[in-house]
Amino acid sequence: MVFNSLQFLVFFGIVTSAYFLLAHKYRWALLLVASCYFYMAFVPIYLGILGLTIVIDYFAGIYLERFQGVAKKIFLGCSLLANLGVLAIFKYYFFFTDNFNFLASYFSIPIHFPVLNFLLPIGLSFHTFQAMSYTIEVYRGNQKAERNFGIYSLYVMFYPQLVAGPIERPQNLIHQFYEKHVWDADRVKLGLLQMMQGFFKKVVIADRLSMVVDPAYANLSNQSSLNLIIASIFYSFQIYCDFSGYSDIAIGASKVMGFKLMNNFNAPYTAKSIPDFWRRWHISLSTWFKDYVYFSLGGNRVSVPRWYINIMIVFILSGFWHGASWNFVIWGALHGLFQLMGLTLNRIFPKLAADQRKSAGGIWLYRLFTFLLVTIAWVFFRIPKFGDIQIYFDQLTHGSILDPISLAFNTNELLFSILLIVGLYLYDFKRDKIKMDSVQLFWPIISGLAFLIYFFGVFNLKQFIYFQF
Amino acid sequence: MQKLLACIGFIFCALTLYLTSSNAGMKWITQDRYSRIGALGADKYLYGDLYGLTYLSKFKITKDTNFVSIPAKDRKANSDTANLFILGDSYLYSFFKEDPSYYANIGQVKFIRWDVANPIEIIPARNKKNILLIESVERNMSGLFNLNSVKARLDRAEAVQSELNTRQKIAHFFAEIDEGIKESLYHKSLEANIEFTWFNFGFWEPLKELKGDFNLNFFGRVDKEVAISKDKNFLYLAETLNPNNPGSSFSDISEAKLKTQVSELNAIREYYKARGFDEVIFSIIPNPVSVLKTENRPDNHLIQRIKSHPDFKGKLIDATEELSKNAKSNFFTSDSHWNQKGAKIWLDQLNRQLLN
Repeated sequence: MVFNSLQFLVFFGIVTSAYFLLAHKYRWALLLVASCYFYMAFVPIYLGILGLTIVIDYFAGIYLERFQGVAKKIFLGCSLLANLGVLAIFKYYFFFTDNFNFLASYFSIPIHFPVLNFLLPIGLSFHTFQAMSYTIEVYRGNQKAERNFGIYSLYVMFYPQLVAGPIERPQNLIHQFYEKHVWDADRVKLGLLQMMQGFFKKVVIADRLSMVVDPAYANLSNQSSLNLIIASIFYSFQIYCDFSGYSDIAIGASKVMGFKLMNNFNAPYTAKSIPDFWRRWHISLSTWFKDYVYFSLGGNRVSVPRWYINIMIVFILSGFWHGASWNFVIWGALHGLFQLMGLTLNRIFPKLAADQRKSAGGIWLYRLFTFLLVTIAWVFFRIPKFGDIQIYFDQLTHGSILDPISLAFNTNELLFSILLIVGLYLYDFKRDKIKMDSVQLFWPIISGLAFLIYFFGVFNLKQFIYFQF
Repeated sequence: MQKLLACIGFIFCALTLYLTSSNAGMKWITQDRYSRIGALGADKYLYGDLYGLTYLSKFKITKDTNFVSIPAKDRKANSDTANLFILGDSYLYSFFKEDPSYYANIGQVKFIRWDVANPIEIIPARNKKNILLIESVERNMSGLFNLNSVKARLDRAEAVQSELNTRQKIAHFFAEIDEGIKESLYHKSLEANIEFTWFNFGFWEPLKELKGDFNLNFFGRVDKEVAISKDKNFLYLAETLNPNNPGSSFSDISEAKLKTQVSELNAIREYYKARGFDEVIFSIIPNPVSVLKTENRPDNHLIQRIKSHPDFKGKLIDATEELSKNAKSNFFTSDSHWNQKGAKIWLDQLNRQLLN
């Protein structure tokens, strides 16, 4: 079930009102059933896969707590193996066999793995990572093993963040299922406002920008440089609004019921550097990698070359997490390289960097440059085939930038889209001063947003981009 | 207060889900809504299905486009000599349904719709002539007029399945489980049903038209499924204009493609003749744009090319020529279908065939 559907509004109305009507002791069961219903709207049979990993991790958690030493490590290994195994089969099997078969044929090795292309369970990477964080935290002693199987299942399956995060840590979420959340009108209003902002980002901005972006990327060889530049900038904002819109709806829907999910975005395009960008973009994933991979590799408390290697490992893995395709690996590697370049330049010219950061002009230059780098990297994220990436850069460098004929967008549509992007940027930039989450102004804001969503929304039930991961 | 609010919210949403998840519920809502006029009445299909997608005020036709029956005087006096089995779409079903009185010399009609997924096995009667009419609109024809697709609708499910290999059977088995669960939990048209229930009221219409007109005049676009004719007088399904779409009137149909299509038709005919049908008749309803010729560009003449193809062995009802005479009076300006007059032209042609 996608958030930007009427089905979801009905579902949300039923679940939320039933949640407040039910006695506290039955609420977790309601949420669990609702989450199963929500998930089964995609491919019902895949609930079985989710159920399997839940059972394994549930028992792994209990045994991790009970045992010490080698046995504890074995249980952690089993849990991680089960989770990564599911990912390997459903997400990466095709990628590995396809690449292996290609290499085997290239070197005339008479081995051929059968190529099976499974339909990827929606949000697999998200709930797998959430489940893994549970066993790791229990292993580290930061979280007690959850005895109530239903509550543990709900931790993995909590419907607002089941298919596209935020990827929650058990310490933040599990205890909330035990807490009694009373109806708090102000909190409900804040939650609804955040949901509404999410809908606005998705159907007014992201899906509108996709009307320009999708045709341009679908037919790269017929685009002028200007078209590609516009499409690329628009894609940067499309993916931001698409994903942060989802997160806003997820966080808002949880907030209405009294749950507090972690913030997943913090005005990422106002970032002044690539590391700053990653502190603001998909925060739940970047902190996951930081906590469980980067620090495990030694973080920056190692020699400089090893530190650089650690950074590259984390970013390449992050790319690979997004999709079993080389373009995602390149996207991750590019971000890693940008980080290393930044670190190296700061080491060589420390004074220059410090001076620049002090002046307003310098700060904007950093912001612009960061946005440019992020946008270049998004090109690799958006285009899955190498051949098409080559066409993109050929057209970008050889096509005429001022070719007005190929500017295939309606001028008003283009101007309106730019207006939305500027508005969004200003809002992000001055978020503290522009109060869109004011309880006092609830009715004017929510009715205004509802009107704008209806009037300017693009209603095509387009799935959220991050569902595919 | 909070309990009261929660109760109201729960009842409203649960009732919506209950009604929109059942065919009976939707039938009740639809009948009730279309029986009313004005603010509480339905507006979606009242002025044409394409108006219902675009809400362009200019295309709000004043006449009622509900598909009403062809007048009784046009019906045939029958001698009950044959059974007619029709595999067809809304072009026929909306007008004629399963009423044998429309058809010459037909005693019984069985209508199977392409969009009904479950196969319905049709068994020819032993004591009567059995005629199978396979009809599709031009835009859907290439996807539907092949033996597998027809068998999937007219043969028993097991018969279709017996032709699958083991891997396909396993996949089919899991897909069936999946489909079964999904069907029992979520109505296939749930989203459309909720939209109909909440927003298909006359009182929403001014707002919808405001949005539709604004989108056209300011952004230069209409619903992505719809296109406006060059002369600005007709709404078409966009897919029928897009040459990249195989169902478009302007798509490039090579001789090789045509030959393949013709051999598919022959295969269907031979298969069902072998299954006991005395006659297999095909009918391809032209896309409105193929008849109205508003676009000033040559179309692919697909229907005529199939009909005159030397390899084609069957009978094909082609009403293009007749419909083209005074073409604008045979189609609604804001509907993807023909009007009653257009339907009647096709029916006369079929009846001439049945009487032969």
